[in-house]
Amino acid sequence: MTTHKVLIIDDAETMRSAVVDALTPAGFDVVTAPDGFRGIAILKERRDLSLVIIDLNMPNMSGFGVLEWMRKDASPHLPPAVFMTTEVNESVLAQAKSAGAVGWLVKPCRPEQLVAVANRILAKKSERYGS
Amino acid sequence: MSSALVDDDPQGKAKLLEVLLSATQDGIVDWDLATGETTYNARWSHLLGFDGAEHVEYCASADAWRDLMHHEDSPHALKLIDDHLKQGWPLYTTVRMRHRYGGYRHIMVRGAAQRDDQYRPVRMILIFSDIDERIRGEERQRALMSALPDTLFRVRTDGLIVSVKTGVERQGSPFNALREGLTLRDTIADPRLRFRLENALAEPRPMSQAAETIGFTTKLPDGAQLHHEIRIVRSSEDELVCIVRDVTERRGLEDQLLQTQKLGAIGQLAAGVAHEINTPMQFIGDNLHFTQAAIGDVLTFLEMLRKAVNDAVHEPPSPAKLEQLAQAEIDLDFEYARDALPTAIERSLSGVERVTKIVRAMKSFAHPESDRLTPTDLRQLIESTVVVATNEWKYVADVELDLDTSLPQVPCIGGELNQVILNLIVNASHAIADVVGASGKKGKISIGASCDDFHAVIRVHDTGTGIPEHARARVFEPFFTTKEVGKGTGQGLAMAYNCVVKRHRGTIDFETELGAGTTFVIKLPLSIEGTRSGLPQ
Repeated sequence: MTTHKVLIIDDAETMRSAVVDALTPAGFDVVTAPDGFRGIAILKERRDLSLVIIDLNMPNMSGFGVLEWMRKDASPHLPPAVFMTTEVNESVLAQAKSAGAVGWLVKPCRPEQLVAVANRILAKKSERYGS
Repeated sequence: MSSALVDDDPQGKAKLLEVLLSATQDGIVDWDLATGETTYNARWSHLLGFDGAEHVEYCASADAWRDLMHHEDSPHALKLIDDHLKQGWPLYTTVRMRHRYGGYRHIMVRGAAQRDDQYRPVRMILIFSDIDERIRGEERQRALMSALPDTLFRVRTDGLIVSVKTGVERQGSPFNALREGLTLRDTIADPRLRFRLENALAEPRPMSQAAETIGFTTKLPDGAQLHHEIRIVRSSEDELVCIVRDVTERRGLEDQLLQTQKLGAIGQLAAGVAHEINTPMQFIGDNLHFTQAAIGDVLTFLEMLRKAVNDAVHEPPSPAKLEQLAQAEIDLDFEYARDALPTAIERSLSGVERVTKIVRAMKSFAHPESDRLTPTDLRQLIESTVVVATNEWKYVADVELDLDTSLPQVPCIGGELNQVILNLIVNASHAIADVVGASGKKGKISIGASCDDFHAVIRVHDTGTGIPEHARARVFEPFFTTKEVGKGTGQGLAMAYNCVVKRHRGTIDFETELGAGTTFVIKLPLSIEGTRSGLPQ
């Protein structure tokens, strides 16, 4: 079984390390990016990512900005995206769905919740692509 | 005393739950997904106007929470609940629910599933909150906003767009891509506009401060232009509200008005200019008539001479012949013609020159150039304006020009600035006329142009009446005039102020002393970069 690689884009250092701490013991490889631009740079470069978790509220480029870029780029190797936020509201949720996000995490989330969501999305993905 | 997260303490949790259930304003439904059984708190039915026995009656049904939803809203809500259960999407939606006393109330539904270790949901807690007042308020506000043609958006100081209400934006408008959740960087493609918006966002701005307005012009591929006016007010510590209004039509009308004013002024000037041209034309005519007559005589005399010379080849001229020639010279007054002809021609030429000068000045005054700041020779602009306005000042004043020859080209809108100078000259002449009256004496108008490190400075001084104290604060006000009806419309200085301050980002001021005269001082920035916007508003 290959190790799944997950990219977390979040401007908060604590959130990035929380994700690393939660997913690494569960067998994931976690790559981190502190803002949307560096996140996009990693997405462009690496073709082995299985999932990207994106903070919605970041300075300079929002999570939607990253997703917008992914949607425009539309390379087949781009991984599914999950949003992560503190606050939720109806219109942002609807917008995330239509922009193509496959899931949503509400901060703070427990490690097991994070693992469960990652597993669920990856399971679906392998179903879809038969890998 | 210590503080810890209650989540980790089962006993504390139970107590907290008790308090929460009694204190909450929300209706809560506990839904067992295995059995399909539901448990409601009392508050749930109170939200919809039921109480006591009715509560038991209505909430006996496991599906009451579903049944009371508006039939148009329930499929969407149930889909979202399904998304939450199957995929973990947060549940957050608003539905209309039937009220005991008729009608519907807006209820926000949130919830969370409890899951087993395979992430399978086993139990769901649904929370119902009454947000009817808020929604109705929002709907009223939305109705109000949709009636406005403006685009409104809220943006955080870091550039994230929090909400957008798109107004009537034309094709090609730079505000068409604004979208909630994206940033200015993502949605405003024009770097100049983005730069100006980001600058405005970065400015420390107290909440109570009036809106700052910035103007922006977009060039469309077909050459047309869109003009926008953006008002910015702070709505909270880190958020601003921007109101975008398409002022393309208004700008068009303003331009037309300006052009009309200009044409009006030229019409007024035309009579004066006609007079200015007529005088030299008249003496050109007189001198040419004289030349015509004198040349005729000279030619006759020449013809006689030529014959005499021809005859002299065959035989020497007789004394009688020579006497005849001498008499002819006296009769034709050859001497006078010889002396006067060059003068007459010189005068005609100088007359032609004067006419040419006036026509050239008129042309350069009225040239219909663009409304952009263009490097302009201020000396030429002032000189031609003085010539065109000659008839306005020449009976009451002498004009003295002191134009610095080292003055560089100044970025300005020539067709508007000469209008400003003209208005100042006309005002100066009127002020002097009030002093000299019909006495035949003349005052003086001095016009100077020079520059310092950053500005070109134009001074228009007159020896007129000076501006009375009560009028000083209002001279730049549109339609304010102290002149008698028919002489002034009160638009000259208002136009000057608008042109200098708004279009050129310069300043216009005056010094005045009653009985001594007035000096208007215009300062224009020497470089476009030195201005805040770089573009005329």
